[in-house]
Amino acid sequence: MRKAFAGSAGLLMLAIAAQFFLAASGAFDTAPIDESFQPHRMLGYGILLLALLLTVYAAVARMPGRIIGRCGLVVGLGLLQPVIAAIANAIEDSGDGSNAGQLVFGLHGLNGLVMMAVVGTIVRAAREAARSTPPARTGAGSAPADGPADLTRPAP
Amino acid sequence: MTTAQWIVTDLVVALLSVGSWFATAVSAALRRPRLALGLLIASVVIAVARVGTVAMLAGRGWWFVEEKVLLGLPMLGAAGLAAVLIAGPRLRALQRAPGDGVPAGGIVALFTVGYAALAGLLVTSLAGYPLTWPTALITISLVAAASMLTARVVAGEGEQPEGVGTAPVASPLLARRRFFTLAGGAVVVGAGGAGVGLLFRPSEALVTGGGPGPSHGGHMMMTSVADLRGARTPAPGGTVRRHVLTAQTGSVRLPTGRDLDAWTYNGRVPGPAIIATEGDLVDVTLRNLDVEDGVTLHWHGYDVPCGEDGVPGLTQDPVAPGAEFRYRFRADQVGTYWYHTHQASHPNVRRGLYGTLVVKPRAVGDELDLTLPVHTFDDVVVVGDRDEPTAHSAPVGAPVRLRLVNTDSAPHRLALVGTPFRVAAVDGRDLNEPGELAEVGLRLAAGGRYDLVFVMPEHPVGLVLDGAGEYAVRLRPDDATGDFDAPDISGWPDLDLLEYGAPATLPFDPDAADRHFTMVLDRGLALVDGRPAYAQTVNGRAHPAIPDQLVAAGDVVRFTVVNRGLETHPWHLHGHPVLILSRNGTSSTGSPLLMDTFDVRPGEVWEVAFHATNPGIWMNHCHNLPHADQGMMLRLAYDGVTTPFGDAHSTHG
Repeated sequence: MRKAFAGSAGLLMLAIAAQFFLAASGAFDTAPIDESFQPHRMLGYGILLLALLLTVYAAVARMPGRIIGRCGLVVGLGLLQPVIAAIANAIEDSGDGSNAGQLVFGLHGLNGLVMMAVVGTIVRAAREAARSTPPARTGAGSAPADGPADLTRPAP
Repeated sequence: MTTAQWIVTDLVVALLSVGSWFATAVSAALRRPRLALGLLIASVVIAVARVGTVAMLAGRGWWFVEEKVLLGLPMLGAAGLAAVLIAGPRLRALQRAPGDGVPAGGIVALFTVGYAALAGLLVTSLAGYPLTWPTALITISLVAAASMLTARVVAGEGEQPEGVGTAPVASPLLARRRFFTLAGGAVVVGAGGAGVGLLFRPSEALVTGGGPGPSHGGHMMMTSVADLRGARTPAPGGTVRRHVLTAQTGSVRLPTGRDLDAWTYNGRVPGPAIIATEGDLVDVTLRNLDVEDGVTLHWHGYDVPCGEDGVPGLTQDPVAPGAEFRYRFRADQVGTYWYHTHQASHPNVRRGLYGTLVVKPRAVGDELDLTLPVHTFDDVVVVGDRDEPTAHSAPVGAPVRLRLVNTDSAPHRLALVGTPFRVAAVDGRDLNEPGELAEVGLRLAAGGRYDLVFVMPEHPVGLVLDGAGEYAVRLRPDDATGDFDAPDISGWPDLDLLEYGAPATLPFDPDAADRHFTMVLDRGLALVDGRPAYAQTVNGRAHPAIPDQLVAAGDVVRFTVVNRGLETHPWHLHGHPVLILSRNGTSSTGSPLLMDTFDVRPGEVWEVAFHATNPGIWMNHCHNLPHADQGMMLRLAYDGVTTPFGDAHSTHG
């Protein structure tokens, strides 16, 4: 199961990378903002849900506290993303002529980078955890289970 | 500070509170007592500040704070107090004599405050107003569950060395833990189960606004909207204005040579201008060539009989490809209006299914009379039928009328440069004694109209749109060649229509209201057509789950429209203009102001009223069409009127 966790964390990483792609392609779309960013928004909710599930799973499985904590941090930062966007839009709409809204919106991108970095450390820690777990079903001395994490394990 | 600024400030303080409590908990768990104590003090200070921001918002209206006062702050206060009492003394002791760190109970208590703070924020942004029992119970259940899970992790980490071997029953610690587990589990399951169970309670189908309920029994004759049709003949002296509008898809070439992939009436954008004189009969046959979604014609702002209103699933069936529908009504109401499809109006109006309807008085009109709908196709702005600045000429001294129509879903800001002018009419209805204006910005709501009038001066006049830096429309005196650059209008003050013009006798007495409905606009989790979504909501619900508003013919009806969110909502009631009474508690002091689309900006509270003299079942919705599509629409039904179209409660905007 720890391998599944490590795999899910890797998936989260890919999803966040895809978020940057969708944000950039949305910005160059000519359709109204509401539609251009629809895929970005949907994937954002997906990322939040996946991060929440990872946190709950890590807690239930009693994984190391730092993994649980970092998963929780990703949830927290993920919740911040739509909030930053909403606040930036509100400032923009208030139309005070300054570019404060744009500056606040910049935080949305920075926060995304931080999320990616945190997920990176989770993936690394999860892979280590998966590696250190003794094989559950295979008996001692049998062939190593499949999965990239096992390739680095010394041969028996 | 404005209410919107307080909403954002409160949001930021709430976010800080969440971050600060979690930081306290994490630093306590990581055995950094000095940092944890500092953060704990900061968290308490922020909590007190939060009480302040909520109190400020409460002054603007209970709608803005209900869930915070009844759930968010009590939860935060209770959890925070427990955490301070449990973890506080220990953290202080650790400053003086470093020891083992904060015990598990203290860490769990600190995390629980974080969960409570986060839950309060989520309730504000996902559930909003009104606070319901399911929301409160599910929230409490989730906070308790998160807290128990944390306890499990923290306890697990702490006791791993002990492992097996100890006698579990004998230990008082374990007995106490078992008690907490059972009690916590009971809260989680009980509150969560009750909350989810209550979600499935059937919702009310209609609200009466304090007036009598629907009349039942055999004496009441039920009227079908299908029978509420317009006149078939013009008034004496009027003529019949016959049009055939064919909805079609295809490419439209704009004057600059740009091709638009548009959906149109008669292959052009905007659709044919329908112009009538007071008393004429407007007779329009709508045909659909190939618009698969189906189309209709809704006469925006024109108080036609309900059967002519063009709302699919409510006043008619959508006109499918190959089908047609004939609209007939008497043009008794002078002014600037527009028409558009109401079938899948988002995104089909944006694609080009719109046009203008202008009814002129029988008396001689203005010499130059221009109707200028402003429409945005993707990134192309089309004013009138042109996507480039246009020029017109008029003799010096000639009366000029510019009819500005916003056919987009967002407001536009306009300014007229080069001459003093008056706003003669708003949403087609004349103002009383409008004063002369210069150097003001005019904010035009989505769907709204302004008639600007002036006398042609000896120099050019220009219309600036959204601070584009150039004139969208230029007017030159005959034979003149002189020109001038568009000024920057961003610093010009906006005209406040509530203070413009002179008071006059009101068309009805808004103080003698028979019914009063409150609509709180926000975003939140709700079902839109049966699917869960982050919807645009009215009183926490989205179409078609928003209860119908019931009125009786002859009622004077008041609306309080509150915008709790951070987006602008142009509110549009079909079939009736509303009289604007006040905004944010400040009464209208100018001309009686009748509007069919009024912008309720973030944090604003509008009081409006209308006289229910046009029987039918009417849409009452946000005219930011994507918002309507995301759930922000409901129906206003006259007692005794039924519809044979569509299924009982769902209407397609």
